[in-house]
Amino acid sequence: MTSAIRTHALVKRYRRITALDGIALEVPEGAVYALVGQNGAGKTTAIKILMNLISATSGTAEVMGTDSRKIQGKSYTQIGYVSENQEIPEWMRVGALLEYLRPFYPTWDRSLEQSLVKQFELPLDRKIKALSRGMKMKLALASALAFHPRLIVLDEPFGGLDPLVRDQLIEGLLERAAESTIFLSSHDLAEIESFSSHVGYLDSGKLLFSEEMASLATRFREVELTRETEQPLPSPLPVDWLQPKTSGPLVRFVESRFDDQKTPADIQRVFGNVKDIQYRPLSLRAIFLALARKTEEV
Amino acid sequence: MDQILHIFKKDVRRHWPEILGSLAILGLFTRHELHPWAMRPDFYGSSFFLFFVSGRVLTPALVLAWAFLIIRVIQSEALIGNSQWWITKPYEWWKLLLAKLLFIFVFISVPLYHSQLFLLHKAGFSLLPYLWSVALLQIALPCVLILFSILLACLTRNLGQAVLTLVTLVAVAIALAWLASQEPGNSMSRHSELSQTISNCLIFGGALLAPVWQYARRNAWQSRGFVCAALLGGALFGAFLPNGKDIDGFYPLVSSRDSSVQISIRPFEGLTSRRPNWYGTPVDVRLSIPASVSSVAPGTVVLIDGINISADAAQDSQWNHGWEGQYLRIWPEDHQKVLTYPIRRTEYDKSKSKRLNLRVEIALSEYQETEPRSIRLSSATFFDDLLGTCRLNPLNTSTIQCLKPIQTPGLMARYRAGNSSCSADDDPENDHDIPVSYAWGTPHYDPLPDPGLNPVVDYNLWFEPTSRIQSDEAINQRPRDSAYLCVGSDVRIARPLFKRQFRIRLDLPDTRLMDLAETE
Repeated sequence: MTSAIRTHALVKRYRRITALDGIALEVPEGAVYALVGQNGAGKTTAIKILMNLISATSGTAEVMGTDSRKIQGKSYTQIGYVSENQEIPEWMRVGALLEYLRPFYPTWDRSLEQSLVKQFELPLDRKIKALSRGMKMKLALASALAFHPRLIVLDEPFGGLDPLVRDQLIEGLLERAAESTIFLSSHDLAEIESFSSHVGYLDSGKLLFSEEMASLATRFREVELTRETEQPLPSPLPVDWLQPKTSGPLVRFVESRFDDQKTPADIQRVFGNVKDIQYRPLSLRAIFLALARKTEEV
Repeated sequence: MDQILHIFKKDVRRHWPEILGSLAILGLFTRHELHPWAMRPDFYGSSFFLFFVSGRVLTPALVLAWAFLIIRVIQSEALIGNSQWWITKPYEWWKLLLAKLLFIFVFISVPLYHSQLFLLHKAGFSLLPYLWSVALLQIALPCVLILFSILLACLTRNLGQAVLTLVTLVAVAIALAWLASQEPGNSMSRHSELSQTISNCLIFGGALLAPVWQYARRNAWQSRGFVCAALLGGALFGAFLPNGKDIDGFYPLVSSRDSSVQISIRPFEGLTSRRPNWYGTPVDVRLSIPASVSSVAPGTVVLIDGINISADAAQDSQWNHGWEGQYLRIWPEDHQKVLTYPIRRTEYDKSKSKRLNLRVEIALSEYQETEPRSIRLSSATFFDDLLGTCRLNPLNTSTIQCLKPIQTPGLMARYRAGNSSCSADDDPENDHDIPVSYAWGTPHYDPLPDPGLNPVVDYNLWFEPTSRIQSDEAINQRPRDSAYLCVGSDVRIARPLFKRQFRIRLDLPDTRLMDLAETE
């Protein structure tokens, strides 16, 4: 499978602050890739480098096989970019904006435009400055989808939106997922869990992991075991066991490299015989909380 | 082309109020400029006040309206920052730039061009011979203004930042001008053509390249660097290129025998009364050197371009600041001129009572009249190929007012009062003993128009009487030192032909600076 986005040792420094610290990212074509992380983790910086809005201090980035530093002009006929920080020309009316954009894109689809307008309930004759934040995001998304982009890049598209608008946006995106690669950043894990195929976790400029959602869901498990007697936790524990806690004979931790043969063997080795072991799958939110707490401890 | 027109149309829809505003001001400007000679003796009161004020206000208002329009239209796709919506749309940078230039051309250059042709037509000049010259007029002031506004718009984030930058630049320019005014002399620095050309190319090249670079790369610091490097490079070339300021090279030294004019320093008695310090700054003291002049051939004028005064010992010449421009003319009938030279007051106070051997160098240019002919002044306006459309100035009897397309003509004009039909009764205040008066227009050697927005140049031929040696008392008794022109006066006009530049040297032995001080 070819990559829609690929970065190598990407670094961005703002004087003494390192916003991105050597990230290596690979987004397969056709994926719905969510780049997640806390505020200030470097998600927007990474996207801006990919879109050639800012330049990297070092490292390389390719977007659809093109060096990101060369992305400009015609390259954007294949990329739909939406960001919550973009300054839309607010003096225009909704219909005029869509009309203005049409000739820029050879692949602009009038019927898709109309269906998006209908789906997002966009008022064509209203000035953009009179629109709510949610409506502006829907307009931005409609204008980024109507030309069948090969790559859709969304920077925090759901921030501060009400659930109804979020659902509309996600629905609109999912309808396009078959024909496009979608790359989005978010710190709202609940939404992305429902439709992302891949996920990358960025923390303080470092990419802690980048993998398929299915694999992530498989390798993270909450483990709860009951020992025969109450004892303190042995030390050291395997590094893949996150957030170990004990309460009487009960021990709980998050296994970040779950394997149905290796994990029970490791438990046997560390704790000896135990009365009971339970493995529970984790939500994406729980996985990131565990990872975030681990990095805070470090 | 489609994308260019598409962006252009969007800008028109967006900026129509600014377009209408600038066109309205251009209309008012054109209407005002239709009346170059509106200042008649009966034209007083509120209408005169309105005319005068609107004349002072409309040109700056027009310039500001254009600058505002340019900044607004360029910054509607702002080039600084990374959150602009348009950056991630398939705009091609050169098409965007061309769309903006097309906008400026259509809404600034074309209306101005039509306004200028209209003004020419209304002033009675045929348009066909001047179509190209009027187009060249666009390269002068408007081009500089447009280029500067584009540069400002490209290198600032928004209108507020542009205004702030402009205010800062104006403040810096005022500060530099003030600093320059603190240093007397050197007002006649001449640059070699090469250094001037390189300097201009660097500055204009930088100003042209920076917006193009900014459109292509959107790297504000690099583009600002281009501009700063170009300005610095231009200044350095002007300052350090060999012979860049070598007046001696432009004006070769000649002996008194080879000079086209004989100049000698006159005795100082009776002519050194102190005058108010009108010209110099409080930090300057102006030295005054009365000179007798003679031997200028008929049909010739010798221009005193500048002087340089120094002491023969280097340690006594600390106050010397190089060449000082004079802009005096010596006509065949002239007998005296007064040369002035400013020195810093602190330096003057140190050496004013010392007896010094001074050396005065004078840089001169000689012109010979060609195609001389005589014209008779009439009561109505009259037309002359060289002068343009002219009339006697009803408010000043020493001047002829003229309108001429594109460029003030270079000319020599001579008026002998004795040949005039004017009677003494016409103007009893005037001194009819004055035999000859002259007017001068510096010739141009390039086709560039005079800077300005109006292609019809409104200029005055001001006739000044030739100077005669008189005592201060005699000068004070004369009611007014001016020529008097009237209907029927014959005026001889000619084109000046440049002959040569040269320099002469005079000695002033055993002289105290305090004896030369015109102001203290």
